Amino acid sequence: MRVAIADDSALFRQGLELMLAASGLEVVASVADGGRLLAAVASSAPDVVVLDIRMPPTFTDEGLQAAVGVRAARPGTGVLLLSTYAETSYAMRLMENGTQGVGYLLKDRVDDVATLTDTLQRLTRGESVVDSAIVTRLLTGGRRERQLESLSTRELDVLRLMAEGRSNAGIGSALFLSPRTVETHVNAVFTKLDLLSDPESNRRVLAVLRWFRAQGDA
Amino acid sequence: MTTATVAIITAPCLFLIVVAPRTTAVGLALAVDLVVAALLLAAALVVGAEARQRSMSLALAGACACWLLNLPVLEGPRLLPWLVWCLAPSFWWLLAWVLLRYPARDVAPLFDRGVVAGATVWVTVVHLLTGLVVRPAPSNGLPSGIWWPTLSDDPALQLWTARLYYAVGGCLAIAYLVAAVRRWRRLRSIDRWLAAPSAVSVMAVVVPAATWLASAVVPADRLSLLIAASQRVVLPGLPLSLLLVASRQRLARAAVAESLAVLPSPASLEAVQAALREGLRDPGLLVVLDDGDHGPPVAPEVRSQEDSRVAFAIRDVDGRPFAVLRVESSLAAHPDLLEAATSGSAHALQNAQLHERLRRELDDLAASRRRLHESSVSQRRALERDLHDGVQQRLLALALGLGATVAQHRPTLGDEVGADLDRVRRQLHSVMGEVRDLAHGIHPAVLTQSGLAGAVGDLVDRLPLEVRCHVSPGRWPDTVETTAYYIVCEALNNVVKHAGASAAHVTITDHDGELVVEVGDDGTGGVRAEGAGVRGMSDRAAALGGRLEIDANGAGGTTVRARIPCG
Repeated sequence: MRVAIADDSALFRQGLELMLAASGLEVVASVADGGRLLAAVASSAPDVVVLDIRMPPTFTDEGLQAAVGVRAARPGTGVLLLSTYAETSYAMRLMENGTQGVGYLLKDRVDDVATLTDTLQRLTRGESVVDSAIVTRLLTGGRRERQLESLSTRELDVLRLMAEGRSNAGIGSALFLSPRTVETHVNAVFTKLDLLSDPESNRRVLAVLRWFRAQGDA
Repeated sequence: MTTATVAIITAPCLFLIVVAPRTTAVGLALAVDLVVAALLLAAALVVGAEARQRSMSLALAGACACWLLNLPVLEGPRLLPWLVWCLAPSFWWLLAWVLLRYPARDVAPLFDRGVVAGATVWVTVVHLLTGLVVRPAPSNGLPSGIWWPTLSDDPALQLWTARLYYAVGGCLAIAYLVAAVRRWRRLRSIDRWLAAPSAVSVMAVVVPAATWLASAVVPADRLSLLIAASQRVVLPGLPLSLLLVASRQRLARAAVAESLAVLPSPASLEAVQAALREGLRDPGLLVVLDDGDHGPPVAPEVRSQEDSRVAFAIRDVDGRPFAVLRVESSLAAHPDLLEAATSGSAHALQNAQLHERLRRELDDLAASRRRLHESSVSQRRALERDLHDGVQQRLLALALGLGATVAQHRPTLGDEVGADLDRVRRQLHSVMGEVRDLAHGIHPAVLTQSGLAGAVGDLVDRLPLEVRCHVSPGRWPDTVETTAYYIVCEALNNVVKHAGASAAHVTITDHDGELVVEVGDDGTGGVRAEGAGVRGMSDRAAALGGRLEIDANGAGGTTVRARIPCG
């Protein structure tokens, strides 16, 4: 797998390059801002791009804009956005441009080879990845408990993994369930929460995130 | 005093009004003459009551006496007609003198004195001369048989003395008018207002004077009626104008007090100045507050003189001068008016001064508080950035490096070493989490990155409470956003801790240049207006010139509303 990196901190880029090397992945480009990233993507054709959301010049959402640019230039390239802070609104903005091969992780998640490899592979397969810290925050809290109390424990687990962007196969292997059982649970969740989406589509992660967000806004 | 004056004036006027339709021309003329005499007497009395106007009063009394001599009722000793004829015209120069000078008390200019001296000479010497060349006869209007000194009877001499009489008289009349005009132009501010009636009446004298001069050219008998009539019409006005001037003197002081009495409280410096300008009739008057940092205390009289203005000190209740009144130099001759002005305005000015000082101090305080607040906010942001760019980045790099190394060498490491290393990595994660929380507590980076919408959403996600958010997606100045964020934090913390609420709402909108931040809950905690948390929110809002309101909702919940100007 060919990976391109973009982050304004050289220290972080070095560390990430070490991680990727230790994971057995090839780093084809390592740049400091979004403009250079687009050039690198054009010239070196990576399979997936790992970039920071906060980059110069304004340090607000340059990463998001670069991600949009990368996917417009080379559709099918996986995009993993890293952030120091877990922000649900960023995740949703990212997903709105397409959920396939798009991921959002916290930076301190990537120091584990297994997590990093798994995430990148899921992205290249076209799945979505949402950091579990975000999902946990979305699922907990007094207001959620009322809304989710109609779900069983298993259904809650399935909901969490769906929010993290996993496919049915991924959910099955994570929870040691058969595909049929997973499907049943997924449908049940969608019905009970009145989610408006196709339970089977790749866009369901967006629907789930939207549902969580919608409960917060009147 | 006033009632006597009014009686003296109204009695003859009434007599005139009642008698006039029922009497002959002669009777009417007599009545008017009596009225003039009464007015002169009244004027003499009124002017006599003023300080240092004795000479004017005596002059008026003398004029009254001379006028009475004019009344055609004199029979009696043979000497009398000549004496009367000599003295009666003195009425004119006495009255002319008073009209020119009153109400001034200073030394008369040389020109004026010269004019009046000339008038005296003319009235006595030249007049006498014309008498000396006349022999009493029915054609002259003088009954024969009276004693009349005659030097010569020569018609040529008569003609020349008559011409001299009229020539000198004419020149004097012109000189008098010139003196009157010069006096008017010398007068300023209040003195003009005071002297205005007499100035007007002096101008009116032009009419009879002109008719009299005309009689030098045209035969006297045809003009005599016109002369007499014009005299009688104008003459009552002369002493009347003097009475008006005297009453204005008395009114002037009351006018100053009146204009100061209608000032609002507290009055501004400009209002006091305007009132004094009106009362003292000096449009260039200035009131200057002395902030006490120049020099030794001020004497009560003139402190400095620049062009035609003089300065007077205004003193407070302890006698210390705290302001300066700059007025026309002519007002220095009216100490009573100045005393009314300075003492009447002292209180209002002190108030104005205090208010002004207080307002300045409050402005300074507000600006200083705002600066402190902004400095504190920017320091915290800088600290958070330093933490992020420094410590947090290095911890991340460490974690990545460690993770990479462990991953590379895991096959060769034993289980124990592997477990130890994993523990180290977990602790490192824990430290990173703590630093992240610390940095978030110093200043939430999400606020800088995504504004209030993102920060409030993030905050609300962490709370065990259902919160509906309506946050306008705009951006505002950093201090405003930070202040609003901490107010929302504090308010939501209060809701969680005290309100017993199940749901809350956060609304942030931009309205009329103000950011309106509202946090409401549906709990049963009642309105909580005390407590350090509320003071903290209120202080934050006030530091930026805004304010905090706490209202009760219908069902017992509370709504905290902060308005922060973001102009």
